[in-house]
Amino acid sequence: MSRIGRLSLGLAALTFILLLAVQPVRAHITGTPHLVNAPAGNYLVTVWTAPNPVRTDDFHVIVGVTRPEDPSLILGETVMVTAVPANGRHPAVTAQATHEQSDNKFFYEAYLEVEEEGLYEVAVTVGAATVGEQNGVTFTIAVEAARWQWQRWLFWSGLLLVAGWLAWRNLPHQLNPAAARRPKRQHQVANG
Amino acid sequence: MYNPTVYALLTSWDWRPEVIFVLGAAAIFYLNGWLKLRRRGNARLASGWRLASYFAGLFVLAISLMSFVDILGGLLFLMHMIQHLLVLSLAPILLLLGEPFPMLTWGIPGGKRLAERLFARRGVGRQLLQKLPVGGVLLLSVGFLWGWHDPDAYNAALRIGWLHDLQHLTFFLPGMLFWWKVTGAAPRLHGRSPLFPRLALLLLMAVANMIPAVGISLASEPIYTYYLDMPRVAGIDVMTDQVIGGVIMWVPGTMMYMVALLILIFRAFQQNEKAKGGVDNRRYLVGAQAA
Repeated sequence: MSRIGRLSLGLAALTFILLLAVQPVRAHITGTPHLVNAPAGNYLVTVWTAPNPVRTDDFHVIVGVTRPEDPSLILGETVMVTAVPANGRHPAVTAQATHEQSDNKFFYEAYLEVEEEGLYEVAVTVGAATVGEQNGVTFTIAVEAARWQWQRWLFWSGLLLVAGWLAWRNLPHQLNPAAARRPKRQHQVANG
Repeated sequence: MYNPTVYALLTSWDWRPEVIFVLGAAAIFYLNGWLKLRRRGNARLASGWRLASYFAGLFVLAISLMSFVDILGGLLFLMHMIQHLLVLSLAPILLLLGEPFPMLTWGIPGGKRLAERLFARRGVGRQLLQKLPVGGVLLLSVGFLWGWHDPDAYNAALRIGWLHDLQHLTFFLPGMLFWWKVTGAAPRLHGRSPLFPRLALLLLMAVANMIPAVGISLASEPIYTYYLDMPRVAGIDVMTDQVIGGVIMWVPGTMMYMVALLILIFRAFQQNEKAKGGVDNRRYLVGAQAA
């Protein structure tokens, strides 16, 4: 294969590797919307999940909290997320959603690791419940089984291969017999 | 003094491996080529300001694609307009002022042979760039600009990650092509008398940019309904956000083209003066320094 052909093939492979890293659904660090401004006690709650579909080992819940009188996002509240399996075979999983876990620090994010796939009821609560008041919201979501994330592995091993190949090409001639065999060419200055 | 909103703003980052990889590779290869050209005595081409300009362009791209500018673009229309301004105009201008073509040609392994092949007399690259008319560049830029500001396309781009990336790519690549024509960067396949078409290109693009910008700024209802379902940031309601976003697209967005137009006219006058054997200011400057 010619040098141009090899380079084109390399570029195509690199593009494919890069495409693997693009998250297909999670635009703007939110995800799939489930609730929009749902009343939760003194608050309004907007909830997304990511990725789509969520899996037993990759289940993120992202929460935005506002007040009915002011639509601006509120920071620093205590937000808890609980996933209860519909079949009741496993105990509920609870995690605190925090700003630190979210790329968008105006939101709260929790990472849940559930036992098995199936339907789950997810409850999101904000702050402490006052007497006779419901401070949480719920929605139902289907969780799929964990899957080997071959794209991630392929991405990093692809990058490693490219880096290794570049390093090998640029090794001193004494260490790299292939480079030593390559004839030295004089090129014109390519300045357009 | 600690302000939680400012803290949240400054710490919101999405470290995307594919963006870091591409920008990192672009930086390493450019630096490699820049150093090689400098070692060969081409310090005028591989100058310090060109290096600074190119890296500033990469920095602008990184900020626009991974920082709060990108993250808040999903909550605030005005932030999304700032992002588009950076991707469409500022980043391409800075990158092209750094003359990336010769640097990358020298910096990428096998780049010289590839460039020789692509830009030989019958090379595909030369054929494509030489035959690409100014009108074609304008049509491409305006087409994507107007197309992506259609409410359905815009809302879809905000909801679907890969579509949003495609939106940025179709702003950035025609943006590079557009500003390549305007700045006259290498490869120098711009034709013999490029000034008038370049001025026309800038003027028409300024008008084309103003049309949707004015429409958005003066609209009495929310155009991009995606934002109606999103919580607000810092008390900016949807309509205020839309007006500010429209004005950002209108004023600084159009100003980019008008400033470039004035610079081109100024440079044309300067060259005309020199051609007529007029005053060479540099001699006076040298004289002043000597004195």
